[in-house]
Amino acid sequence: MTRSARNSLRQETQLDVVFNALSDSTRRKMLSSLMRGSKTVTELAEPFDISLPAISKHLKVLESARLVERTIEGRVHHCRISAKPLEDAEKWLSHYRTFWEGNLDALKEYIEKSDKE
Amino acid sequence: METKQSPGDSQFFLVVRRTIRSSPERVFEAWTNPAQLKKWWGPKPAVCPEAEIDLRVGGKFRIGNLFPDGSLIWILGEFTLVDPPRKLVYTWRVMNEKNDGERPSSRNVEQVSVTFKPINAGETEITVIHEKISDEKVHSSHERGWVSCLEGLYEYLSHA
Repeated sequence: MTRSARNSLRQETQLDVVFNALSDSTRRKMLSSLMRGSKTVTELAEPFDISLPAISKHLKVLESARLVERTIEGRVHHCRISAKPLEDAEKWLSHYRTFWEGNLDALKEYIEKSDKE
Repeated sequence: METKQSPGDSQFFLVVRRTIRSSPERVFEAWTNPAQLKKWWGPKPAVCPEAEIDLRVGGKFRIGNLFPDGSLIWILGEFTLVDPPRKLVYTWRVMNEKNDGERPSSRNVEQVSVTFKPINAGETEITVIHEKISDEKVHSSHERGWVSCLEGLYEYLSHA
């Protein structure tokens, strides 16, 4: 496999991991909370009616999807949202939106102009 | 023959629409006749120097995209549904000249559906749905339900 194909494959796998991470409502709520600012694990767990080990598990899924980054200061674990993985999908969507908007504008112009002649 | 994939199976997709003052037959022809396609294809600044279209289920196409810097990108694919003048569905992959001959990763599957709908008097609404689909059917039922247009996701995450 060439390097570019390996990179493609790696990106595809990463996107699968991201979408799996997002498929759980507790994890989505945790992400929303982090969008409002970084939090310690304790702060993050506070609004949820589930055990700390369960929160930890969710956090690990979010971390392996690279949606959340953790830094450790002594005993305190700080979590913050990491936008990088969503950027890949965002890039694809925005590239093709621009592509198709431009292409359909060109099609419209071609047909409407040529029908006039 | 219906396509196997639907927006529910894709990782994400986008939809773009236009209304064109002409008949569906005319628009369909502009889309599928290579001599005509070359005249309009290419969001600026790209132009189309070459196009081949074998318009039938299983037929292949390739469309060249030439940029001002001289680089040439090929869009390649195969038709899975051909229903003139109403609808087309085909696979889509992008190859630059250096990748000539390289087999695409089986996981990187994209699909384009184009519908040509008559509206009002003598107008056509053209709708393009471009989906990114994974080959692996490992999606759980709530992943399938999570049809994510990510523009919406950012919106959701900032207001939830």
